[in-house]
Amino acid sequence: MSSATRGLSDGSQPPLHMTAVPPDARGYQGQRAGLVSRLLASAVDLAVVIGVVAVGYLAVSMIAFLWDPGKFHFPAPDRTWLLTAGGVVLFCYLWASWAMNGRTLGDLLLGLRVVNYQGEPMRVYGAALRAALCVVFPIGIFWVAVSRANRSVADVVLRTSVVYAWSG
Amino acid sequence: MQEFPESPRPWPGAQPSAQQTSTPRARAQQAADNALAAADLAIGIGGAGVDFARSVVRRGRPLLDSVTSPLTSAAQSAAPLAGRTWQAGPRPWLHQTAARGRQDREALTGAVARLILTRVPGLANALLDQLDLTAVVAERVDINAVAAKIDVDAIAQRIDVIAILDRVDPDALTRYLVEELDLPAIIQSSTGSIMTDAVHDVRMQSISADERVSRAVDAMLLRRRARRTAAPEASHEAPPETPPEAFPEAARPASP
Repeated sequence: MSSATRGLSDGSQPPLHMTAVPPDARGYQGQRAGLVSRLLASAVDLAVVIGVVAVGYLAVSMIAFLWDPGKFHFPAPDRTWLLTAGGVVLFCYLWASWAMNGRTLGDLLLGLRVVNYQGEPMRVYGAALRAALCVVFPIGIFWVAVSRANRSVADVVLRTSVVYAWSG
Repeated sequence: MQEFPESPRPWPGAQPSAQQTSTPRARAQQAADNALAAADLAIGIGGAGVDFARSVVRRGRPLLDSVTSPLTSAAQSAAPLAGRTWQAGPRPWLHQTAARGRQDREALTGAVARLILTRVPGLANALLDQLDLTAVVAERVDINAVAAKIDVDAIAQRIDVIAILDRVDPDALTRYLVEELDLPAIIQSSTGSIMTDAVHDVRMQSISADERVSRAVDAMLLRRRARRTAAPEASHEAPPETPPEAFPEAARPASP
């Protein structure tokens, strides 16, 4: 090993990290996010879920039209059906997003990431538990405003964190 | 005997007029005329000498047979020249000799000119084939100085822009520009930059709103200590097999 390359790996100098995070936001990276950011991300996720449910509704309507055009009329599901469908879609959406990369589309837009107690991305079962808890008790997100550590009810129960993570 | 025209050029020995000698330029012109006339006279004398030699040879040949009177024959052979020369005095003879010399010079000049015109193109082509004109021009010509003397405005005024535009196919030009400039990529890049700036603004404003909400809630709850918002950082080492706590993380599957 030459002296030039040896100097790079002997630990005498800290490694150089390249980051795309703007300087004014670097101090917030890794900090738990506050209520507003998480509500905005949740709103985006809710919009995505509503869109998926709407597309599903249109798909069901089209199938009904193709099945019997003469008697076709738009289905009128009651509130229970809608809430159930929305809840199922929301659960699947949150579960898949957090299990894959710890981000939903809302988190991606707001620069957030869900991590476990070790600061690592969540695993499949942990993501499922957190998704179920968020669907069943969504109002628990407001505990972020009261918590000294910016944790929601789901975070307190499952020891997870939602942090600012603009890169990665 | 050949008749020579009267010379239009004044004889150098003639008295110059006051106008001709009034300026240095006129004096220089007079000197040049004198030199040219002297050259004509020399050529004429040379020609006369040649004629004299010819006549001596031609006329003296019969006399060579007679060895008794060589001086008489020579005198008789030279008599026509002497008579022609000195009958009218020295000045007419000089004029005639100079005129003949001028004619000979002009004929010689014409012959040389014809020879040059005949031979020069071939010689020039052969010479140019041996030269690298580009290198010669680049080495010896100050192109910047030449370019500085070009009147670009005058050239531009002579250009018929309308005629040029009439020859342009707008559709082909537009298609070429779109293909070469890759406008979709430029638009995509610009849009991506705008989106990045917008997302940055939204994120920073949401962070600022987070801090304001937290401070407001803490103020209502009479909290004096700052929040502990630092989350655990991910370690790049392998996770331990045994979790340190009973329920270490939500992601860990429940044991059966």
